[in-house]
Amino acid sequence: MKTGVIKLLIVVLGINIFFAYIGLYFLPQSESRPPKELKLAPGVSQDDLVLLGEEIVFGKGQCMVCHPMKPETGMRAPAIATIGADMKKEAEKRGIPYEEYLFIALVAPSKYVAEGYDDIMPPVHKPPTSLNEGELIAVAAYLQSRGGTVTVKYPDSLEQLREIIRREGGS
Amino acid sequence: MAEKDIKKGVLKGLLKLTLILGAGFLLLGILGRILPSPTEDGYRFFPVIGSRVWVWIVAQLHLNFAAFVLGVPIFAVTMEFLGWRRKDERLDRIAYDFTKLFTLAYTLTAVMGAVLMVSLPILYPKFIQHLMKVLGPTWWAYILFMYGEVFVCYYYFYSWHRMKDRKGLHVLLGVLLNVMGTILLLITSSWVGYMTTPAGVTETGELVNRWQAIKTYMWIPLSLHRLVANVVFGAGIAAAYAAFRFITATTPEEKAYYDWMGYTSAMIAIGFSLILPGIGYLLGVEIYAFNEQMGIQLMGGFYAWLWVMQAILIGAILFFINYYLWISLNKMPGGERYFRYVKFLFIVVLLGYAIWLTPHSVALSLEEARRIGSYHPVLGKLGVMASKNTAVIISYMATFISFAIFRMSNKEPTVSWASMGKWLRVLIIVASTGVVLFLGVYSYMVPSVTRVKVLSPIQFGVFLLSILALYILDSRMFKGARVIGEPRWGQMPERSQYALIGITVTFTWLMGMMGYMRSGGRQYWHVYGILKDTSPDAYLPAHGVASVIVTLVTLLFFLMVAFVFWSVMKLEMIAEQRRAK
Amino acid sequence: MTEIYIGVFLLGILISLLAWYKRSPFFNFIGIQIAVYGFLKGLALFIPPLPSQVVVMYMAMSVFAFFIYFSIREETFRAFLAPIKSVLADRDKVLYRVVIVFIGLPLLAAYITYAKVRPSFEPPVSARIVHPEPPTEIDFRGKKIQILGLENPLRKDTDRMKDYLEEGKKIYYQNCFFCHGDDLDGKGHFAEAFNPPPLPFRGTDTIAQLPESFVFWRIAKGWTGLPPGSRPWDSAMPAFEDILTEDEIWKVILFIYEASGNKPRTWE
Repeated sequence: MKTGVIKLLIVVLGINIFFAYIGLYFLPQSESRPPKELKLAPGVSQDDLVLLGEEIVFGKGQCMVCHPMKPETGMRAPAIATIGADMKKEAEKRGIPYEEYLFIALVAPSKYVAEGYDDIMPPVHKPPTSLNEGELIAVAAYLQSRGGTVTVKYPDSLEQLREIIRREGGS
Repeated sequence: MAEKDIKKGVLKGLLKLTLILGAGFLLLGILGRILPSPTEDGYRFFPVIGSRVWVWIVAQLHLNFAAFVLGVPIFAVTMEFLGWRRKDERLDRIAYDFTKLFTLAYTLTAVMGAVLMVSLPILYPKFIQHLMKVLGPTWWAYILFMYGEVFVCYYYFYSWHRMKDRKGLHVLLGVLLNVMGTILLLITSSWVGYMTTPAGVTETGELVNRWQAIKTYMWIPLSLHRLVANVVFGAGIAAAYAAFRFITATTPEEKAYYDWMGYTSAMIAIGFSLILPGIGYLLGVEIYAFNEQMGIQLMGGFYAWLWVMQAILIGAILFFINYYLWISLNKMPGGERYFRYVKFLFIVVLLGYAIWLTPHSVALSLEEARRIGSYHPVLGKLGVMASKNTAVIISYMATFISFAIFRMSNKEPTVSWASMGKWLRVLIIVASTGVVLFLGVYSYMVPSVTRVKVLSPIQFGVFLLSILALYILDSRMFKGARVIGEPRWGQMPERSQYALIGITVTFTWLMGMMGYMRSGGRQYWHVYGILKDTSPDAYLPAHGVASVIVTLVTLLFFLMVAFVFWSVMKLEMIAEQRRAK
Repeated sequence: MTEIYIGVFLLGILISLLAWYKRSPFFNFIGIQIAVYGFLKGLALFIPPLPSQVVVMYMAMSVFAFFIYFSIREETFRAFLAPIKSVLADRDKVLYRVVIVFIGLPLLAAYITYAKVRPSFEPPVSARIVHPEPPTEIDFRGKKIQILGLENPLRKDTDRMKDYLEEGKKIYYQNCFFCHGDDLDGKGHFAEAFNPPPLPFRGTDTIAQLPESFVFWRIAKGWTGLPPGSRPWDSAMPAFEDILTEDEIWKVILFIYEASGNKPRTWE
């Protein structure tokens, strides 16, 4: 009876150590840190804006969760690769200024949904993504750079962005 | 036991709960006074291991016990009911033993709950303030129902022998106990649901609609998932208890009884675990519906590798249960006839496990990368969901066949169509395996959407249908069958019991890990999208760290469970002595 | 050297069969493990070798599973343990005991430790993106070509397909064959010299997964066009825009798909 209980202990301990071993040495080890907030310096160049925007699109913004880079079957959201050109066309079709259309697409995405897609995108200036104003402008610059020319600037576009957020974005 | 004992027992239970709660509130008040006030953004820090790890361990331990005390009554009452209707003394005894276990476990559950109740407001004052603001009334309701639960539970336990002649009423009491338990579960699930998929508040966390905050996306699916998982887990612990008692038993009668109890509990656990993937799928769908980002993050992002870990764990569970069933053939008169099939089942389970474990991508050393190239044609094919689904379904099928073999191994069918029935059984097994395999191969050739939405459910459906068909066929075929001999309960080698323990340990570990994933899905938020976690712990730890903590929790839990088992034995000994006097 | 594993495999089978005949589950177990090891390693003769991590995993599983298997029946398990117990306890097995327990096992442990801590000069492993994102457009010798949505212009011209394929074949054998091989299996004359080795075109996981526009970009830009994540310095693919014309690239693309029996991926 005594040996039985000891063996039992060994079994429980052994299985647990085995699982911990797999977790420690078999699975990749990396941590997931919360993203940092971006603070833009006034007069940052448009090239830098595009680079910063790219980082947000691929990282903190988590855009790639739904948007593919290039068109593919069954994609749930428009491809990023040509999105600048596509949005420009779309804005002209609806008769809205290009930049305004761009910002609305970020802060009130339900207003204009690209044809053939479901309305699934959350406003990215609100939690959980919570991009700040500078980050929104950087993302806009990056999107424009995909197939179009970059027109947004920091801090020049701030006023327009704030205006749109006030009008469309609720809070 | 006399009527007075019931009253005394119930009073004792209520008093204990009041004492624990009172001590908790008292400690909360004292600590709140004497500890330095929290940091500006609302945190205090637990020494050495940090607040998060402390709360993690305490919460998981509390949850494990809660799962146990909520899960076991469900099948305890069912057993009591069956024993009552079929006039089966043994079923009544097992139901009583289950009840003894969870009644004793209540105290530890309450203690762990009180520790958690003190820790959270002290360490995370701002977060708890927010929760109280939004869901405060549910907390008071929770305490109320807790008293109700304890009252009914202790009454149910102490009146067991007293109400022997009023069994119907007693069973009803058990049902009431489960109703209480389910309400408690719903309340706690609503808290977790709110933290993960919040609703009913503004973006800054101001309360708009309390009912909306309770009735979140996650609420019902999470509760269902927990309800079923609690049964699985509770039965697993009961099996571990039986194994423990089997090993320490001294008389053949005891050995026979605990052998049977272990078998019954393990089968309840495995049987209910069959529905878990389905409910888990439902939960996943709701998470996706709430926020695609969170869904993908949980399924394929940071946590992708933990799903591989999950495969390892479930594969181990399947292996343990098959092993247990195969060993069980030893005790069946006529079981020898079936050992030749075990060989094939073993190979099927082994290959299934091997495929399920095969990783899609592995870390290569440079030398290997040179020879293999960047991808491996064979592993690449085995490592995808198409093959894994197929492998796990076929392993499950093999497990069911092991179970069926065990059940029929001591019988010889006497119905006229017995030989035809045997062929029919072979046909069902071969045909369904063939269909599952074919669908598995075919699913390589279709887009993944078709695979996930059409082929995999069909595979699973074929599996469920075929085990249903086998079950019905067997029960018809073995009606009035010639029994070669009664199972020799108790004549089991000790190592079979280690398999039972193995199942339970693995379940507990799995529960700890999946719970961590559910909680980690919030990433750096206390309440997803509403209340940010700004403490130094606002990151997801590496998988190794998480594994070590889950291991720690599991070991602590088993330490405490061992204590419960030991006290049951002790109480039984005291009762024995009293009776002897 | 890999052939030796066939021997290992057969040896394992032999031991296992002998043990089965002699009814000794323990040696049967040993034989099976040797055979499984030989099999897993010997697979390298037919398919690319399994990564060592995977072999370790399968072996661990095999030991665990077969140990369980031999412990199902009481008699078998007793017979399984018999040799172990006998070596550990029997009076007449002192020699075995000394050789196995007091010399063999410590030596084995020492060797494992040595192998673990022995300094080695392998560079660390790091991930490489195998299928990088193509750029939206490329500059093909001064001409802007939009890669996204680009289609093979020659594919529509079905009448002259035969000629195109013939020419593509010629181009392939003059330019690509040295590395990608006569059989389009990535085993050309130079293949052994490169790390990572050239990609095969056969099979369903390389060009079959890619649209022709992607293949065009890879041929035109070679290693220089790879983004940093794909570690361009880990590729020896030349930029063929300096060697071939646009049309020639399209022809050779037609050829490699045709000859490998694959179809380019299209956006439905």
